[in-house]
Amino acid sequence: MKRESFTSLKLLALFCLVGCMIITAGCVGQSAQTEDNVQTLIVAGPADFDSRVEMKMNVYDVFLGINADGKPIPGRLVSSWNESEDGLTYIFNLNKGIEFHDGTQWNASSAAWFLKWCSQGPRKSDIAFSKISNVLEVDNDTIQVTLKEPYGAFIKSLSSESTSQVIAPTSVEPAWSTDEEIVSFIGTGKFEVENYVKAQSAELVRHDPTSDGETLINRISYRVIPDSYASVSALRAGDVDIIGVADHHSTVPYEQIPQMMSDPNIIVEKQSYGRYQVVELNCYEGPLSDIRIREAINLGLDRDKMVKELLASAAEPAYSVVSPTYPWASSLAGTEYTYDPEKAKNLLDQAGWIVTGTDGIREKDGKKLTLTYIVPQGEANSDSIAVYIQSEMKKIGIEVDILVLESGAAGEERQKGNYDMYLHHSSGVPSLPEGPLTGKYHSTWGSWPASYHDAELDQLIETAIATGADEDYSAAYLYIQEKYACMPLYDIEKIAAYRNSVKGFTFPSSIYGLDLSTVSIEP
Amino acid sequence: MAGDIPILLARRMPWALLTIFLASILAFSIMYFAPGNPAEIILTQETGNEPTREAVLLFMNNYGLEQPFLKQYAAWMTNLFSGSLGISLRTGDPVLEEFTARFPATFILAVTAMSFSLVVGISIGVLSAMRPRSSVDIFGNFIASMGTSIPSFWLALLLILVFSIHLDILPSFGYGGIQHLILPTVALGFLQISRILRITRESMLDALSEDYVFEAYAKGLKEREVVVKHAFRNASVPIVTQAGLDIGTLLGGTVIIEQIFGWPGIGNFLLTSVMSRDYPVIAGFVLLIALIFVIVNIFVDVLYVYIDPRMKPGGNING
Repeated sequence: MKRESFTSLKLLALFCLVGCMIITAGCVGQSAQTEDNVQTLIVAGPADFDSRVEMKMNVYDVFLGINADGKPIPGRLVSSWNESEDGLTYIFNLNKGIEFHDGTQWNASSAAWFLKWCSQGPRKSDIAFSKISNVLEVDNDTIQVTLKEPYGAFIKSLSSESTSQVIAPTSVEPAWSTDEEIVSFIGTGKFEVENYVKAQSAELVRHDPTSDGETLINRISYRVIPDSYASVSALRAGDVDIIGVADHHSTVPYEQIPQMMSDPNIIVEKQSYGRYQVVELNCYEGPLSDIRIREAINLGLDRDKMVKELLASAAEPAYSVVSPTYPWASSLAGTEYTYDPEKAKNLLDQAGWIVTGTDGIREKDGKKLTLTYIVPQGEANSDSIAVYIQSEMKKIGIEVDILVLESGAAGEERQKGNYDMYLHHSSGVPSLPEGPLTGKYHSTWGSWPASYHDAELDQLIETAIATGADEDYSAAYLYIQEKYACMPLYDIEKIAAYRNSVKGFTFPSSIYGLDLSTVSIEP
Repeated sequence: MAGDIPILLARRMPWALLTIFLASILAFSIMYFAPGNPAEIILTQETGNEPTREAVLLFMNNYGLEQPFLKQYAAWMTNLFSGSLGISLRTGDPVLEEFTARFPATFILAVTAMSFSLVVGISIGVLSAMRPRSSVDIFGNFIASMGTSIPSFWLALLLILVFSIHLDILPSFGYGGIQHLILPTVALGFLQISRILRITRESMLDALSEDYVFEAYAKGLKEREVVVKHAFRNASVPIVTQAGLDIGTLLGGTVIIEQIFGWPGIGNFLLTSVMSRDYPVIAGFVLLIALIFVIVNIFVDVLYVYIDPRMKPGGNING
């Protein structure tokens, strides 16, 4: 009896010890820090800092600026540029008085080195940089770039956040080498990288001090949380301050939004960049080669109900191939695919697809109207949307077979044209308005052989690329809209969620941008 | 006893090398022939835009991806013999650097989860076997059933909800101090506990019914001495086997737990590389994981010899 009591006492002591350890350990947990006038913003993202274009926008400036319509504009580094008539030579005038974080000057030498590094080093696979033939320093603040052949999208590429973030010549080893990988993050942005641990974190410290009286964050602590639900938990637990901003398609799950909005400590904001989730259609084989079927499936989908019931109204429904709010797609206004199931049924009747059996599925020449819908794994909200589309199509007599494939395998099927419907998004938009045109709808440039294309559309696309004029882009998009080349679903809005102690956060003008320099944290 | 180890290693080594070689060629060939073009996937991931055919061809040309399979594999093997596992197509960094940057995190989590499961699983398993149908045994059965039926991702989210959000005593994610290790260790170790517990209980029940145990009791030895020195030693061979398999699996990376707790291990990176068809990373990581697995297996074989001398090379297992 005495021995049993002694054992119980020891067990109790052990449990107390473990409990104390846990509680003590918990006391050093993470939270927004505002000690000693140092404000640290803790940002969570799904992958390593080095792969996050958006996070690196706090460290680097882009060679050229970009406006909300995706047009290149003079930026912090380049004040103006000229293009020769033959499209082979470009003159760039550089802004003066700018330094990289380590004191290296931004001038013709460093600008020329950057473009040579892009064309000869790790970025040489980029199509724009592969066109560079020569870079000359005209004077201390001017460089001249010569291309091997004209490339209409060259200037646009220099305003791309994903390929044209400008690094210092001292970022590589040996410094000023044109074919070495980056070994340190040295840019001209508002924050510099103080510490970086691969796959884990990055600590950024403000490079330019704030003005007197300004109480803005001094530091950014970036942490990797690959799982989107875990990042929501971390936000709710107060372990991070902001989520959803470190990637261009926000990884915040839409279905978590109502729960976060009901938390008084969390603020949820959304921003549209006009990038649509769409279902691409096989316009050359199978039932969808008939334009009437393509029109019917577009009219038979109730998009309002879809976003309301499945996406908690976190997204806006999409009725055209790209957003008609952009000047380069303004012709689409008034041509939207509105919900009209009766007209959809009539179109299917006209095309010869009639309901004959008891299952409600239409048939023609003894063959059922069945569409194979490929859903690449990992596409946001894809599962619930696929089932919704399936049920909507059944209402108008179309059977949809959903095929969820690993993204690589799905891509292979897409290349072979082995699909009727394929879930994707309007890639490139808005920073590259020509993204869907060149990637999907040009007969030889893109990698979607079963998407709609014809000689007239090729001509329209080539004209738009050559002139860069809004009306030419708009004409090409209108042509695609009239051919019912895809089934737009919803606007992929970027969701940012942050603790209510975070003040001053604003969405950038570009989907790839992020400027956290204006943020402060209330104690 | 120590003299037996070199003989054991000499016997195991050719098979170990063959296993590693086959694992690497299998990994390389499966990924090569799997659908999906790495150039297209990686360029899309890098820019968020659909690459043009020209850009895809340029990328493939730069990395030699247009070469036939045997030529690519031969180039990879040549690099391997010169001490390089190649360069990641996705990150542009050496594969070995990618592995060594992440493996310490995987190692720490695997070792703590395994230690946790061994301590808890063996303790409850031994007590359950000593007192069948007692309250400890019922509790053990309950834990074992829960461990096999609760998915680790669900347990992980539950632990975060309770200890991070509601009680606010442990961080919900991260890597660094002991406080970051507690929740992933519990979430990961729970399944292992149930396996170790069941095996320990069954092995101990068998051992405790052997004649030598009754003889030990008859000689007047205390229960603790009989259980620990005699029964457990004989019962531990299957436990060591299971622990060896588990630690090998854990050292190969634990994708879900790493994702949920933001744990920077190799599992999550390998998964992303598979999705991107990053051949050098997949082949290199599989090679290194196979190497670790082989080392763990050899270590387990050596441990057998220490636990049961009848299992040494040339030993008589029948006594």
